[in-house]
Amino acid sequence: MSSPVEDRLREALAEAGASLDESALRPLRAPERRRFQVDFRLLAAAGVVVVAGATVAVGLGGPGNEDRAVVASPPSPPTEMAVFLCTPASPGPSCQGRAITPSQTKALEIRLKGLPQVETVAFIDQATAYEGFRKTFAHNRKLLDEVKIADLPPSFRLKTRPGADPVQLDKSLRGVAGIQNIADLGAAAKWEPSSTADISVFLCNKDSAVPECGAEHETRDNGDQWITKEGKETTMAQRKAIRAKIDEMPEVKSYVFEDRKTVYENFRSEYADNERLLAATKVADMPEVFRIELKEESAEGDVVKELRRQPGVGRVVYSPCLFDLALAGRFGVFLEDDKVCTGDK
Amino acid sequence: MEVELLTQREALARERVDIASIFAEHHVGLVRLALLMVGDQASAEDVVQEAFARTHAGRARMRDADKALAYVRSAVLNGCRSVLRRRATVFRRAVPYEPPVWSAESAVLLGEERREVLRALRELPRRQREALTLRYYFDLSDQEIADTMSVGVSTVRSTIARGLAALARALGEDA
Repeated sequence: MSSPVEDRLREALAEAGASLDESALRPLRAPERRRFQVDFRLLAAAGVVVVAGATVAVGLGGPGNEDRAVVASPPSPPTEMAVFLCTPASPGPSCQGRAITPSQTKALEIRLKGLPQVETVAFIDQATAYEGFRKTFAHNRKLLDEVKIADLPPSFRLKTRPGADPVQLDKSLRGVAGIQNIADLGAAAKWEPSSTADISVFLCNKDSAVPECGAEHETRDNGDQWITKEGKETTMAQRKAIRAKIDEMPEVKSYVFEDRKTVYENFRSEYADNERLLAATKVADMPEVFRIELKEESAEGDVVKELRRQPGVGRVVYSPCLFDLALAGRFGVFLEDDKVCTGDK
Repeated sequence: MEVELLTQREALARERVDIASIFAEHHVGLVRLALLMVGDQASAEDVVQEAFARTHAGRARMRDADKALAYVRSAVLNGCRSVLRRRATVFRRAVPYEPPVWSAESAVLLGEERREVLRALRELPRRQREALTLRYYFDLSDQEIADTMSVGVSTVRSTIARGLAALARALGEDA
């Protein structure tokens, strides 16, 4: 009993709908997770070379959306990956404070074993993980005090077959219930100080997401953090004041100021082989930085604290600790850097 | 708007169906819906991506699969409204924007007859346009359309009837 108008409408809509070019359809991209505030590119700029799977690609200062794609290693020789499971202590929105259930664990194990890219699957429980953690961080008391056995998630360790793409694997498991995050352990974190600086003082960029720069965050009901107000760029006067402050610090042996261009050039040469990362990074993304070398026997704690108080300072990073921070990610543990890095060692 | 936000939050508090998976499953259909609303594929894809990003960020889950689909559809419709609103303000003083699907350039894709219908559809008020599209393209029931548009079932019926009548007038036909 449909009228001529209805028929005409139906046909016109059908035809217009069919004009969609399905082959050109861009796939849906999961939004970047801005929850963990360690800026990967900041790590890189501080001289830590971390090539550690998609999970270290964490929320960045700028407004862009490409950040998530950054640390993607190319399809590569067999690697080891860790699928960290949810615990009540898991950060980020993926677990919502709930531990993985036994049936979810079982289902996940079957699923992992069924993946064509995966050679073997092994389970690492919390106790084993904690043992490894203690050994790795024997030199860092503060970190060991901060992290309890309950903070370490259990995990499945996967050995991939040759030619498997870790990024692909990470994508195919994204959103599966009970997974906290996935890390590529094979692409080992290397400690290659590109600068001899002990402390890097990063200044604020325009539209920075760093709270110290004046950015404001809002935590949504689901535990996700969103930027509600962007930060301000460091002014000339502030930069001058910071320089004066560093000048009068007795612990400082020497320091240099690097502008964006210099930081970017260093970054480029360091990551010459990572096209995705370079494509996602502009000169303007790089923060200006003071690189400070301390006198021997000088404790970094007070210097770091003092500099953090200066207006216009975005982040102050003590390099050796930063590496530990990145390394902790290999155990599925994510921490704010000041929990691990300030103060005495 | 206020009411919609409230129901969304209420929905987020519940559990079960993963919204992200709904998006993945119905991706093409959702882009089609957006395409019919905004007229070009690029904007349509953006609308769906944006709606996906928003809900996925919360790893939103819902108890009722049917409700979840309606929720996702209405998120997409909402995005389309924003696009159209933006266009309206940007182009208010410039030449009217001619979206590709029913524009002259796409004459190759669609016959003149079809384009006439789509143009008439586009002239209708927003609610009528949406209701007619959901009914005559997606074959949704009154109840499903009501859930998607957050209006009552009877409103859906009268909106569709009025929309058809207006369309018939515009096309010079009897309803």
